[in-house]
Amino acid sequence: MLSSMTTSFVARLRANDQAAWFELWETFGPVVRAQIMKWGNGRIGAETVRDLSQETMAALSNSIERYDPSRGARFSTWLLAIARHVLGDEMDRRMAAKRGGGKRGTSLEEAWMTTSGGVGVDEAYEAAVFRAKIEAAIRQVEKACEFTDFEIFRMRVLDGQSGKDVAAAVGVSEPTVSRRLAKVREMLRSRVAQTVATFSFTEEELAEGERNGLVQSPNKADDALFDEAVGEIFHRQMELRATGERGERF
Amino acid sequence: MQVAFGFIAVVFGLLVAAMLLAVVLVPLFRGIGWLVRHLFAFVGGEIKDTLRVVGAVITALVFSLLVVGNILIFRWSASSHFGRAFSAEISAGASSIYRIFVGHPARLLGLKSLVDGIENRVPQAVAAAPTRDKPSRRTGQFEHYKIVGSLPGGGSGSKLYVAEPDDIKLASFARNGHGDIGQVVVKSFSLKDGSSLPQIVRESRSLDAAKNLGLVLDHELTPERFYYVMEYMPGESLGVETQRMHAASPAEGLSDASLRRGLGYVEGLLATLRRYHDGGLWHKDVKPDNIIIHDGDAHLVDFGLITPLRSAMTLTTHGTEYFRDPEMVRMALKGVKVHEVDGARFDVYAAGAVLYSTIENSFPAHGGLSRISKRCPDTLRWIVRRAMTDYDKRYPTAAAMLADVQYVRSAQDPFNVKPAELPSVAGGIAEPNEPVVEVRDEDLAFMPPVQPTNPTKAVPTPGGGPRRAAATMAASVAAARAKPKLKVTGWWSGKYKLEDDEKLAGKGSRAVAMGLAPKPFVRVGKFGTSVAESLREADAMLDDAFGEIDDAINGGAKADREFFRAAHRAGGVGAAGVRRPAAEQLESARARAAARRSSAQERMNRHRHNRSGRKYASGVNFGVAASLFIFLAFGVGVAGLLVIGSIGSLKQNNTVTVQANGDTYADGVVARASAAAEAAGDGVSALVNAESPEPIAAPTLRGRVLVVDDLSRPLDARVSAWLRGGVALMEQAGLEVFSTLSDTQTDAADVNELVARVKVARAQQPLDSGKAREAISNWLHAEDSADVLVWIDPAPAGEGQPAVYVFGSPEALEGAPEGFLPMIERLFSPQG
Repeated sequence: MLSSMTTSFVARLRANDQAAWFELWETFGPVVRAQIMKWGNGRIGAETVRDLSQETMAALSNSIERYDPSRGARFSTWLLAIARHVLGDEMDRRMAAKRGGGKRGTSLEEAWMTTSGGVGVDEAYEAAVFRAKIEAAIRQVEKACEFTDFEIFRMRVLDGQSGKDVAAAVGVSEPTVSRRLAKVREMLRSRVAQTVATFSFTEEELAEGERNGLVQSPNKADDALFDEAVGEIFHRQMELRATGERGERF
Repeated sequence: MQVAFGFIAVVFGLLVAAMLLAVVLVPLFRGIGWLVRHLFAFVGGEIKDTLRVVGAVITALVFSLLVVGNILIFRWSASSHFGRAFSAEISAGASSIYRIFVGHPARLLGLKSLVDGIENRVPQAVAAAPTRDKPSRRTGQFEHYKIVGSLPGGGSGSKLYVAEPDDIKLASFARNGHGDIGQVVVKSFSLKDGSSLPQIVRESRSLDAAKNLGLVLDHELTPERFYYVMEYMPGESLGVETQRMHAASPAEGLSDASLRRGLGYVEGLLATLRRYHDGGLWHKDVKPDNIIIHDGDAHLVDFGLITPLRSAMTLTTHGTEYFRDPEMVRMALKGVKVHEVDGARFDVYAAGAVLYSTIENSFPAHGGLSRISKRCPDTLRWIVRRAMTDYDKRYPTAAAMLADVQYVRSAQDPFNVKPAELPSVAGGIAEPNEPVVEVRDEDLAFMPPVQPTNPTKAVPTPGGGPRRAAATMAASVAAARAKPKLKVTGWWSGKYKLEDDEKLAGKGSRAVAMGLAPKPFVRVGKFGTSVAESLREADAMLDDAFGEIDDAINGGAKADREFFRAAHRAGGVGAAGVRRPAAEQLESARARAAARRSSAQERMNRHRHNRSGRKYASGVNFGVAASLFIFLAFGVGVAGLLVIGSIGSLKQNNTVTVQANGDTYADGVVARASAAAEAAGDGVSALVNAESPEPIAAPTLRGRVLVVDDLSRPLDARVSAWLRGGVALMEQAGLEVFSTLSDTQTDAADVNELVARVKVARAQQPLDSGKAREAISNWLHAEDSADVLVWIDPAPAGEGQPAVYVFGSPEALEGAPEGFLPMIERLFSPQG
């Protein structure tokens, strides 16, 4: 059963809400681009992959009408199917444009709706999709909280600086750093839960956060693990983005 | 003890084996694996590119056919399109050929670095190369400018020329406050040169805004093209300069000197942005490539996307990825209007991205979350993040960010500065003294031009040039916004008059009622000048405000303007200080308005006329020309083959027919037969019986020949072959032969019947006797079944050669060539 956030987001996509499609592309674009590069196996240039824009994604919004959650597809699989369709469609359009004809209609394969998916997914891809969700949550937190608070979180968790250094840099006391960090952490926990719920179709996907150390009902010891997990996930995602932007495959 | 030694030896042996494995075998296998991969990559690449070449050739041929086909049905644009596709295929094929013969072999030999230059740097340099140094004939020349060079075109479909203005233009610039102009850049858009109408409209829309900041010196819009002129700033872009600085610095990051230099450029950028924002403008395309470093100063160029901050237009997603705030894209997708957001903050985001790229020598791929891995002060990291953070939390103005950057740059040791010390954090942000002037689209047209100043030199000088300019602008805008006081004189008729100028009452109310009240024209003039001067200035401003674009689009606007001007003068003081009667002034104004309207209409008509048929450049391109060439070459080839074929078929009458006897031909027989056929001319076959070494030239004939032989059966194989050869040659010469020796004869009973009848007619007389000859001739004359009779008579007593007798009816031989019967006789006469 899909969560209300998922159904709401899917409804926006179905309504061809450009902002929703942009959000989807902003969040998962790097992962999808990397996967397309991988599929392309050198035949598709970085420029081509980069050109696959959110407008192209939005043009595919009709395909989402055929989504059937009861068939058990994962969100990541669904995304991949769209990516593959985008690629094929883009290639067809380019060839058609080259030929001078119009856009040739393509049909989305529906094998992805099943549990097996019908599309080749691997662990690296699944992990990248999960990391993209966490990155989206971090971005939301950046929007929601004060700049200084987020900077404290960034320096302390993402950059790994000590509480003392952070306090000196920002000009506050260490307890203040801890307090503000706790505030951002809580917000992040909440956003992670929301983001994962929004971009998950299956129970297994929903439980990915817990499996990766992002415990939702923590004790004091779990905070450190949470920070560590967030830091690691974030940096790995940054690596993926950097790799993708360099036009390499992951 | 021995066991212990044995154990130690075994362990030692295992260790040695493990070390051997680790040190020698593993690298060896790795090397082998690398070599195999390398070879496979080479072979795979060669195969792949070979197939690509083949595919490209096939596709190119298909495109060439499409080009020709579309030309034939008069679809020029389509043929041009397919021509371009053809060019692309040829280009792809050429690249593949290069890889097959150079790229892959070089990589196989480990010479990747050798071909890197050709494969990467050359295409980059070619792409960045300036366009042609002179405008094309289609674009035409630019009056009062001498073109001296060109610059690489941008993404807006424009052509950029470096030019030197003549004395007239220089004087014009000087009058407008641009006294030190050397060379200028002419940015030209022409539909004929590939610019699109939306691009031209967008650029022209930003023109007025840029002009008011003194960024644009001159402009012109004609039916042929649109261009504007800016001051030329020679130098490299900040992107190139950044690469240079990083190349000269350690790998960890910029050296202290380079860092300060880079911060100086960013300061210059921020100062320029502050000036833009103070002037009510938003650059919208801030990126390293648009920042030119000249004499150590940063100059922001490219005004293609400049937008008034108070514009009523909807936000667009234009800009450059990584330097454009994703939030702006979200807002644009939601249909947010420009005046509903603070566009200056988007420029601040871009400035943060520029600072990031200067420090990191890369673009910020992750927006506000981008990591800075190079060596730099923590405060700069903070500044970058503050600039690129969420829309609501970033620096509110470029000035605030500038203060922070200046603080870091001016510090003794930037690495010792803490973020907490920054002016923006410590609450010491220096906000502008003067209020920021908000400029609306409609206000911009009425603004006087601001004296241009060097943006980087004008930075932190409160009350300096830019400030004064901004203040002047503020006063102008405030004056423009001042509303006249109206006094209604007739509620029913809607008439009213201005309280401070009752002369405009009545007919003059039309001007007010149309929303273009004379208010700005009265109040915009500089304070302390005479009224007449104010009027002249107001007139000049009007001319500036309503440019040629408006003229082309709305011919009546200028006429109305004249009317309003006249109305204003009617209510004020004449240029010479002499008042004229209002009616007379109105009359004159109407006449001028009518003349202007007529003139504008003429221009409109001319514009429409000139524009027709030129909307899209569908001329012959390389692909079209190449396709046509290939098609013509193919056509000529086919035609040539057909001609050669027809000549061959004409000459086919001179056929050489060789009748084999056994499996071998006599040496030279065929050659001699060919020569004989050639010599015989058209319509003649050269018949060669292998038994007869000399070829026999035989005309192509129509007739029926009966062959009778009295040879005893079974025939000798050699004799049989000879006779059958003779029959076959006659058949090939076009004769219809009745003979039991014929291979093609199907009805043997008919032949036997004929033979029997002729034998009865002969009546056992010797064939060489006159009676026999007469009897057979009579029989041929009476018989319709045959025209010629060949009778082969065995030698007496079986000795010697058989005799061949040929009989023909006179009718049958009519028209036959001379010597036909002897020829037949020779055909059956064995030689040697």
